[in-house]
Amino acid sequence: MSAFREGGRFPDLSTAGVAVALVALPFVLPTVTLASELVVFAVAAMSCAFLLGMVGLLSFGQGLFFGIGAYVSAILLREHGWATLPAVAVGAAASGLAAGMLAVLAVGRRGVYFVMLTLAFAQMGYFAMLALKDYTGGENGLTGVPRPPLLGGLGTLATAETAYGLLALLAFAAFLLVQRVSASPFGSVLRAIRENEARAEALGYDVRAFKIAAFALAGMLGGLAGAMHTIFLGFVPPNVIELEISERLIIMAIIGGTGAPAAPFLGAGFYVLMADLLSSLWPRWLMLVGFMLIAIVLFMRGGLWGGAASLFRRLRPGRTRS
Amino acid sequence: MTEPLLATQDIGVRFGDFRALSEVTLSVMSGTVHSVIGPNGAGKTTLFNVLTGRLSPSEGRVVLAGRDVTRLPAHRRVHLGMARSFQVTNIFPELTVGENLRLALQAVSGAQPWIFWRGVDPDLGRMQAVAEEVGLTARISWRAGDLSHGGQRALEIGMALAADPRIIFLDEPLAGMGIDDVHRTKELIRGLAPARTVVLIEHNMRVVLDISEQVTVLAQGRTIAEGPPALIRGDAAVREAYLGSGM
Repeated sequence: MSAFREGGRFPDLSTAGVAVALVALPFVLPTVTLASELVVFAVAAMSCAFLLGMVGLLSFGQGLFFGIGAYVSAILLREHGWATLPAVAVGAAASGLAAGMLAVLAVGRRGVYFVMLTLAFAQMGYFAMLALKDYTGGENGLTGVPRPPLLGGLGTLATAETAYGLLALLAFAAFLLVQRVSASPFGSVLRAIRENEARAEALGYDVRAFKIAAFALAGMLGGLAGAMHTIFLGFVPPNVIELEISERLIIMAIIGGTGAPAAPFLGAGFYVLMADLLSSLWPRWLMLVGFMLIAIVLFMRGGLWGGAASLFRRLRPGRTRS
Repeated sequence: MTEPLLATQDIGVRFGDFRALSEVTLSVMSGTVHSVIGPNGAGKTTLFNVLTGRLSPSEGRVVLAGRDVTRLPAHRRVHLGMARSFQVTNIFPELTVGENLRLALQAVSGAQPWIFWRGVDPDLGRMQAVAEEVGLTARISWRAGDLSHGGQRALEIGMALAADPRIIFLDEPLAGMGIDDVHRTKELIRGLAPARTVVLIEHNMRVVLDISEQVTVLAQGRTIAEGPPALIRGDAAVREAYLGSGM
């Protein structure tokens, strides 16, 4: 059984694993840019994996919250001269708020209707960005976003390495939050809803309120990732709020697996590294990701994380669960 | 006579043109076992869904201890002391027996379900006691889906009991049980009153007539008889409704 299923522990071995990986990434990967991109998308994929793995909600709209976080933080940094940390925090909070409000409309719908609503939200977000081009720059995006110090002039982010340090810390904080929630009473309610919604309601849980809270939390994670993306790039390309981002995040979440809080790191890592390695060799590299997705859905439902975990268990006999 | 704990007034439920319930008026006295019987399709489960809040009636009122709860959602009614089990076994099959019970206890433990900054309380005080009450102590670490049918039914009742309800609704708790389980479960249900009030839907007529104080008979969505078991046994309308069903 995977960790999300039983809630897992906090902290566990994967906590140490994620910490080590975050420190090692810029040294192992060819460039710091690649490492930064990986951690940004790991947080974004976490947002999808959390909803899908913990609550059983498939959202095609997480790209919207990624986009909101990216734009809000960029506007605060560029137009209002905010410091980095508050801009990131408000970007994440704005996405969480937006997600909470949209969830009020969406969580009453189940199954495919819920999915279609999230898809519609994501699509509307893109056109809202175009309509608000005085603020968002429309199809040109927002260029020249500064990267000021963290807070009150302290903690400069002058180099790509220091920026990576910040992104890695934020990613670690997001991971700790998801792992903490997963192993908490709140997390156990979300799992109960995923397992049997009618039963959870009959036990006395306000299923609607819990779903709204979970959706808002996932939106906040998406917004945090978007704000991190702004810090990473120094500009906001309009594609951060396109539907393709939503799609990409779901692909990352499913490839990595939705069974454990650390799994999205594998999914995002796989996708980002494949893009980097293959895109120069073969322009149709996304077909390979497509094959990978098919293979995982058909043969390895737990994703890369689930596959690695069962391999790990097989190599250490006698430690099976009772 | 004292006020009923649960009362309905002229409950009616329509699904399109189909009338599932018409003018059902019911008074459940505190501390009694009150059974609802009737042939298949009489509207028993629909009535349960109205009483527990899964379904809003088209007409009529539901009053719990003097409070109108007709429009109150199911999860809110639990906090007023209502709990239920389901006709079709309705548990969390992938989770352990203990986790099923813990979730039921946690649901009524105030703000506990919203705590996200620390780990779960593994016991919540009464888990062992509830497991013992329904005879599942030895199987508490089993995956709930691996329990026998009787075990799953017992777990259902345990999950309903965990909320420490004033009134508990049991929808065919004996369905599909073996003879030993039937006897044990019957004793369990009988033992719930008078500390709690039990509303029971059941097809096993011997058990119903044996343990109920009051019986309401539904047929085609209407009440055709109401009274203590002795009266129901001799009622002509009931015999008519059950003709050939060996009552």
